[in-house]
Amino acid sequence: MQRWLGWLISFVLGLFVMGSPAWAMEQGTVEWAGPAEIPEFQKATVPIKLSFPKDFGPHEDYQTEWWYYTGNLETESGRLFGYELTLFRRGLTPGLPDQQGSAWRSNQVYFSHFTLSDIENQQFYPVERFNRGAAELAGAQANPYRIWLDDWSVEEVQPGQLQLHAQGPETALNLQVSLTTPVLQGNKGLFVKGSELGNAAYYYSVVQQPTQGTVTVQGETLTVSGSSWTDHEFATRPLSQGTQGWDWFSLQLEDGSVLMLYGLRSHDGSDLPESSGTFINAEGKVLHLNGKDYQLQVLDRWTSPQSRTQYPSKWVISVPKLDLEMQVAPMMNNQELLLSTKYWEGAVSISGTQSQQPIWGKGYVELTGYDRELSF
Amino acid sequence: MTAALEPQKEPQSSNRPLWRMAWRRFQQRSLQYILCLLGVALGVAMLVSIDLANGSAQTAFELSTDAIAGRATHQIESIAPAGIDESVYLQIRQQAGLTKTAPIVDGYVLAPDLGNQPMRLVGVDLFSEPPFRNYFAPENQTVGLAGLQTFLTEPNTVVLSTDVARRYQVDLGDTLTLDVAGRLVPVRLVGKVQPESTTAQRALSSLIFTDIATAQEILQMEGHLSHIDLIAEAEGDLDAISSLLPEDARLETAAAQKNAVRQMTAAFRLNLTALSLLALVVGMFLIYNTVTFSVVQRRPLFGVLRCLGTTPRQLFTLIMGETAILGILGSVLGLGLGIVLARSIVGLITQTINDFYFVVSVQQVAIPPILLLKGVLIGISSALLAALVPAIEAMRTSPQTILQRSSLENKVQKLLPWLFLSWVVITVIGIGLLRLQAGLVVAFAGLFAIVLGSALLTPPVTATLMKLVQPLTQSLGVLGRLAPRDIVRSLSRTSVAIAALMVAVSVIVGVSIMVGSFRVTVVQWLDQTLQADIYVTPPSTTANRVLGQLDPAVVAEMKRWPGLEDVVTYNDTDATVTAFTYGDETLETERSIKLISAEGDVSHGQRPYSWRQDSIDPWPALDRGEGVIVSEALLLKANLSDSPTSITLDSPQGPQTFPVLAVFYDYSSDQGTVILDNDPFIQIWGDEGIASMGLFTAPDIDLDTVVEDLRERYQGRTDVVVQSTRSLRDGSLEIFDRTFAITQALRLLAVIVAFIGVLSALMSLQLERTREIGILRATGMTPQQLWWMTLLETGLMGNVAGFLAMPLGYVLAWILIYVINVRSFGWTLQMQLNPSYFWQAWLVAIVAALLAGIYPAWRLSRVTVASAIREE
Repeated sequence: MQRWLGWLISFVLGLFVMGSPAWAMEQGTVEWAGPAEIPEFQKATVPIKLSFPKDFGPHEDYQTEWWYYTGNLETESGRLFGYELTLFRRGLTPGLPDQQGSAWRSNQVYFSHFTLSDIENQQFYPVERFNRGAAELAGAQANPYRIWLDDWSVEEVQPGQLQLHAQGPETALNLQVSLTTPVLQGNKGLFVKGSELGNAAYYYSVVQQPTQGTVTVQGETLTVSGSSWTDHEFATRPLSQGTQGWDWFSLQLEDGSVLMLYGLRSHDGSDLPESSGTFINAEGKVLHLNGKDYQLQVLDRWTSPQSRTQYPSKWVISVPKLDLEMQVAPMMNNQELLLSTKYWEGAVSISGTQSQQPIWGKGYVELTGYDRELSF
Repeated sequence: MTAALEPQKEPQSSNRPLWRMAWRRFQQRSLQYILCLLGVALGVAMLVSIDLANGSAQTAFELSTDAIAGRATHQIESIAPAGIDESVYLQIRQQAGLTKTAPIVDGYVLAPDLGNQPMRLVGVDLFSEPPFRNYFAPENQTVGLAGLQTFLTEPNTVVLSTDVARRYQVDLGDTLTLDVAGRLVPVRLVGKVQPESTTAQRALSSLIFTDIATAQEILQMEGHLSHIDLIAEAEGDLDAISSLLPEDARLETAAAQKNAVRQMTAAFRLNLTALSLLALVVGMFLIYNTVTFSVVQRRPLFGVLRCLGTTPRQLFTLIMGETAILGILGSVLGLGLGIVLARSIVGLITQTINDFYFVVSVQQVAIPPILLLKGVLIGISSALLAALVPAIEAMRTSPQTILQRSSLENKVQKLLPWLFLSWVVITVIGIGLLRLQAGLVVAFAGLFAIVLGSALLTPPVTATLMKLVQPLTQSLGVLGRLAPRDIVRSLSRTSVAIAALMVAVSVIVGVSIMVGSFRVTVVQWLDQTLQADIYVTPPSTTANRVLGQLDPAVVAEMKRWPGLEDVVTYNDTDATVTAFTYGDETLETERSIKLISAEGDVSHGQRPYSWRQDSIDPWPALDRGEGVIVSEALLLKANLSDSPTSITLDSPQGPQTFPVLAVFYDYSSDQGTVILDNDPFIQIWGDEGIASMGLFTAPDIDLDTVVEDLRERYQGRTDVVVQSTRSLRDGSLEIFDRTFAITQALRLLAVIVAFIGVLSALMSLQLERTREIGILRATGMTPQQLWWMTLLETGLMGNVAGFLAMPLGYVLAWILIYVINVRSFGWTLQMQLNPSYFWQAWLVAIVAALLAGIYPAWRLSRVTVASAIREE
C-alpha cells in the first residue's frame, strides 16, 4: 500500500514538474559565427594633441574607452562615503555606422559600474548596466559634455559644473562636481602600458574636483561634500602579452597635491617595467615618475569571502625623489565588484610624511587581474 | 494437540476460480472481446487525438509567446497600428529609471528555406534581455563579444534554434530568404541558439531572432516597437510607467495577454472536443453491449455459481473486473492510436487556427502526460459506467431467476413505458439546457441530453416498429415472421446496437446538414459581398487574413488605371470595443475586434444586413463619418440580441464612441468586425496604408484584358497579387472546406465506432442463438434460409436505426446551427435541407447493419446441426 502511495505521489509530482514553465529558468547556449573580419582600430602610438572640450567626448576609432569618476565624500557630521561611477565604451567596429534605417543600429556597446561605499556600516553597493550606444539609450558627447547610460549620467549643466546622477536598487548619487584643469598623463597624454608600439592609451585626469551633493543609502538621503577624480582613457588593445593586471592609485592629499600610480603586473606577480605614475603638487606642477622612482610594498592581504580572490589590502608607498613616504589602507575591505568583470575598487585613507612633515588624505585604489588575467 | 485447541479458521473465499473461468471464456470468445476493446480504444483515441492536437496548437503558440515574454510581468502594448513610438522606451529607461524593461519588435514572415512556414521574427535588444530571457546570457556564449559583432553591426543577420537549423540543413554563414508580405529579404544566419530543455527547444522552433535594429528594418517599423516587456517589482513602478504612457499605448499583465489568445480559440476547441466526446458516447454503447452480452450468455453459469455459494458481491467484482481490464487495455491502445491520429489532424487544426485566429507553427505534437492520464481515466470510467447496469443486474437477480433465460427480457419489456418516460424527461431537461443563455458547455450538455434521451427511446420504438412491420414481412414467409420477433425477443441487446448505430448516423445527418447549410450561407454571402471585379492584395502570410500592406505607389497607380469605374480600398487593425451603449445605458466590455477602414463598399450595396438604421443603405452615412457598421458576430458573441445605438472603441487618441449604422453578416471572422470610414480612421488611428483593394471595371471594358494588363504591369513583383472575383471566391471556399475537413474526419470515425458496435452486437446475438439455430436447421431450415433470416434481421435493425436517425439528425442540425454555432462563433446560418443527407444516412445505416450481419450469418450457416444442439 505504502509503495503504491509513494509511486502515485512521485507520478503526480512528475506531472507537475513536466508541466511547470521550464522557460522561466531557461538556459541556452549560443553558437555564434565568427566575425566577418577582425576589425582594424587605430592604436595609440604617438602623442596626439588632446584639446578640450573636444577630447572630453568619445573616440570611436579606438576600440576601448572609459570615463572614471571616483571620489571621497563626507557628511557634515563626518560620516564617510566613497563612490565610483564609470562609463565604459567598447567599439565592435571602428567609427560609427551609417545612420540610415533603424536608430537602434549600433556598433557601440556601453556599460557602466556604479558603486557606493558606506564606510560607517561597512556596506558596499555595486551595480552594473549595459546598453547600446544608439537610439539615445547610451552615449558620450564632448560639447556640451555628457556621458550617459539610461538614467545614469555625467552632464555639464553649466560651464565648469558637472552633474553626476546614478541610482541602484538601494543607493543613489546626485553630485555637483566642479571641473578643474585636465592633466595629461604620460608623454603629453600618451600613456605607455607595454613594450610594443601601440601598447599604450591616451590618458588624462582631472583631479581635486570640489564635489557636493547627496548620497542615498537604503532610503536615507544625506548631504555630502568632498573631492572627485576623473580619468578618461581611450586605446586599442593597450596591454602587451603577459600582463596580468594592474594596481592603480589615485591619492588626493589634504595639502592639495596628488599622486597617481599605475602599477602593471606580469603573470608571476612581478612589476612590469612600464609601471609609472604622476605627482602633481598643490601648485599644479606635474612630475612624471617611472617604475624606478617609487617603491610599493604590500603590508597585508585580504581574501574575498565571496569570490575567494586574494587582494593586497595595505601598502607602503615611498617616493625617495620627493622624500615622500605614506601608508595607504582601504577604508573597508569589501569593495570588490562581482560584476561581469571582477575587480576591487575602493576608497582608501592615506597617512605619512613628506620632508618630515605629516601628510594625510584620501583616495581610490583599483586592483585588477587578481581572479584571472584581464583581457582586452 | 487436540482439534479443540486449534485457533478457529475463518472460512476462506477466493475469487481465483472465477478469474480462471473468465479467462477461459475470453479464450473462447476472443473476437467479441477484441471488438469491445476496439470500441473503447477508438473512443479514447478520438478524444485523445483531438485533445492532443488542440493542445499542441495551443501549446506551440503559448510556448513561443512565453519564450518571447520570458519573465515579464507586464507588457506595454500599442493601440496604434504602427506600434509604440520608440521614444516611450527611452523615457521609461531615462525618466522612470526602470531598467527591467525590454523592447521587442516582432512580426510574421514566411521562410521558404525553412519549410515555407510562417515564423515569428523577433527583434530583441540583447542589452536589456538578461532579466527576461537567458538564451543570450553572456556566460553561455561560445565566442563572446566577437560573435555579437556581426549580429549587432551587420544588417539582416539572424539567429535560429539549433534544431531548426539542423532540420532544414542550414549552417552558420548561410543566406536564407524571408518573405515579408511578398517582399523578399535575404538574411544571413550568424548564430544558433540551443536551449537546454526540450520545452524551450520546441518553443524556439517557430522563432527567428534578430537584433532589434534589423527587425525594425525588415518589418519596416523604424521608429516603433511592437511592445515593451517589463518586470514590475513594486507598485510604484507601474504608476511611474502609467504616467509616462502616451494615449496610444496601454499597460497589460502578461497573463491577461495569454488569456486573450486562449479565449479567442476557446469556442473552436470546445466544438472539436464535443465532437470527440460523441465518439466516446458511441463507444460506451459498445461496452454496455458487450458486457450485457457476456452477462446474458453466462446467466446459467452465474445461476449455478450462485447456487454453489458465490456471493453477489463476487459476481459484481468479476464483471466489473473484466470490464476494468478491457477498459485499461482499450484505453492504452486508444492512447497509442490517439497519438498517431493526433499527428495527422494537428495539421488540419493548425491550418484552421492560422486561417482564422493567429499564426502558429506546430512542429510536433506535444504529449503532456496529464492529457494521456485524462484519456485513460475517461476510457476506464466510461467502460465501468457502461458495465454498471448489467453488473448490478446480475448481482441483484436471485439464483433461481438467473437460471430462467427469459427473465431479463421480461424485465426489459416491463421497462419500455419507463424508458419512454425517461426519454420525455431527459429531452425536456435537454431543451431546458439549450434554452439557458449560459454558455457553450451548457449548450453541449443539452445536446448530449437530447442524444442520450433518443437512445433511451430506441427500445420502445423498436418494439413498436417491429409489431408494425410484422404484417409486411409476413409476406416473406416463416423467415419474415421470425425476424421481427427475434429482434423484439432480444430487445435488451438489439436495441443497444440499434441505438449505437442510430446515434452515429444521426451525427452524420446533423453534421452534414450543418456543414451544408454553412457552405450555402457562405457561398451566398461571398456572392453578395464580392461585387468588385478585381482584387489586389499583398500575398497573405496566411490564407484568410491579409498581413502587410500594399506599396503606396501601387495603390496610387491602381486608382488611376484606365477602364475602372470605381476603386474601393480597405485597411485594418486590431482594436478593442470597450462599451456598447443603448440609449442612456452603457454596457462596459472588453472585446478584441478587427477594425476595418473602408473607402467604398466592395458589395456595391448588394450586401445583406441583419439590421439597418431606418432600413436604408448605411454606406452614404458611413462615408460621411456618421458612424460604424458592426458585424453580427460581435453582438452575438457578446450575447446582445439588439443592435446598440453606439459602440466605444479604444483608440490611440483615447476612447472613441461611434453610432451604429447597421449590422452586417461576416463569416470571415468570429472575433467581431467593425467597419469605419477611412477618413476618421486615418485621423484617429493615423494609418494611411492600404491592405487590399477592390476594382470595378467600367461596363464597356473587357475584364480579362484589364486583369491581364494589371498582371503584366506587376509581373515579377512578389508583393502584389491581382485576383479575379472567381479566384478570390474559390480561395475563400477552399479555406471553408479545409476548416471542415476535420469535422468530416471525425464523422467518419464515429461511423467506424458505430459499425464495430453493430458488428459485435449482432455477432453476439447470433452466436447466442446457436442452439436455437441448430433446432431450426434440424427441423429443415437450409443454410441459405439462415443467411436470409440473419440478413433480414440485421437489415431491419439498420432500418430502425436509419429511421430514428433522421429526425434526431435534423434536431442535431437545428441545435448545431441555431444554438451551438451562434454561441460559439456568432454566425447565423440559413438551414438548408437536402434530401440526400437523409437517404444517404439511411443507406449508411442499412449497409453498415447488413455488412455487420455477414460474418455471423456465415458462421451460423456453417454450424453443424449435431454439435449445435449438443452444445447445451
